[in-house]
Amino acid sequence: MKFLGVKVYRFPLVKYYWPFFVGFGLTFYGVAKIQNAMMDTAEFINDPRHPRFKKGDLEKK
Amino acid sequence: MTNNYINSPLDQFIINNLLEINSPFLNLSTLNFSTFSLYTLFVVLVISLTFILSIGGESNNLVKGSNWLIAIEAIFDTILNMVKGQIGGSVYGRYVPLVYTLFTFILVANLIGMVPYNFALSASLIYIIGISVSLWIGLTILGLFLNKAVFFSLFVPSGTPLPLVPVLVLIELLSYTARAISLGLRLAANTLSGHLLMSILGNLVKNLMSINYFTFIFGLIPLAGIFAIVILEFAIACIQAYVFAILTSSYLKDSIYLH
Amino acid sequence: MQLVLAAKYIGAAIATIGLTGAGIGIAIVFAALINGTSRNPSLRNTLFPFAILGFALSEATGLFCLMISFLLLYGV
Repeated sequence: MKFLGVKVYRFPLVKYYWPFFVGFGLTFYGVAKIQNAMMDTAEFINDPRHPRFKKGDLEKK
Repeated sequence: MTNNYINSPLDQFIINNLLEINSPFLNLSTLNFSTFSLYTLFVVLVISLTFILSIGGESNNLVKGSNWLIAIEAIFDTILNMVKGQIGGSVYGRYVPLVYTLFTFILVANLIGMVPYNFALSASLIYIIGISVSLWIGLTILGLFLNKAVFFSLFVPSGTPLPLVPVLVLIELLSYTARAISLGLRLAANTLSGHLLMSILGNLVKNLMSINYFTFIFGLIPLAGIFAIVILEFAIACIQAYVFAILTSSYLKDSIYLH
Repeated sequence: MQLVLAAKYIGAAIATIGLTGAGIGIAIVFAALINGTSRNPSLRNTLFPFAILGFALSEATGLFCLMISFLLLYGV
């Protein structure tokens, strides 16, 4: 088997590493939740980098 | 020669969006191509390039590998011996790819961050702590899956007197939970404070040396000290990648074999 | 406001006290390495990686303090 021109060997990734994939999924979900919650706090709701300005929602909160 | 804005040493960790994806319905800011993505791409590119250079690449006409193979072999031998020494038993071979990937990625990311004016990937606290938290969740699931309820014997050190058990279980549970943060915080805090230290000292010496000719000559002495700190930072960049790998394999051993 | 600024600088200075512990820890690690090597010089190659590991672990705790100090000075 080849990947980018380099010989690679097969490894049963899902069979042995599925707990880590579950962990990465849970962390991704948790970090996204925290990020969304932090974006809407009083400190950052009127920050010019807030994504709601990109959506066209321009009034101050 | 004076800037009309204030340079904070923390400015070097700012992440800029290079390519944005916007939509009026969904928040797709996860898909933005930022400085961070660019440097992740650099790291993957450097690792792939080392592999391609070592065993011949597309034509694959090298039978014994070039001199680049020595670097890969040396790193792989170190990781294999480390995982074998830490985990042991018969199943250590399964976890060599995981620890090898973590070590190589963190090492290359740290060393790319040490190049002047570059972005240090592992100084982003949320990224590195995210990696360590997900590793910790994975280790807990792995331990519960392999050892079922016996996994909880990890929280009781062998030979504990019975009256001490409730207290020790609490302490061990606390230290087990703190691993999730401390594993990543160690690496991120090292990189963060190292880069901040170099930036602050460099700015101080630059201000001193730009006063007049005498201070320019005199400033060469602290500059030599800063070069020593830079060398120390290079050593720390390698050692912290090694420490991350060795602690990951030691935690793996705790989940698989319990003590 | 001036009082808050002063408190910020005082806090940043106090945070560096923690580096004492890191210094003592690194000293203990290398003292133990010298002790072990002088008792049995053939173990030097086995002991040195452990010493480097201990150095990195104890140095990291000191850098936590330094990081808090820097964050107080520039981050807050």
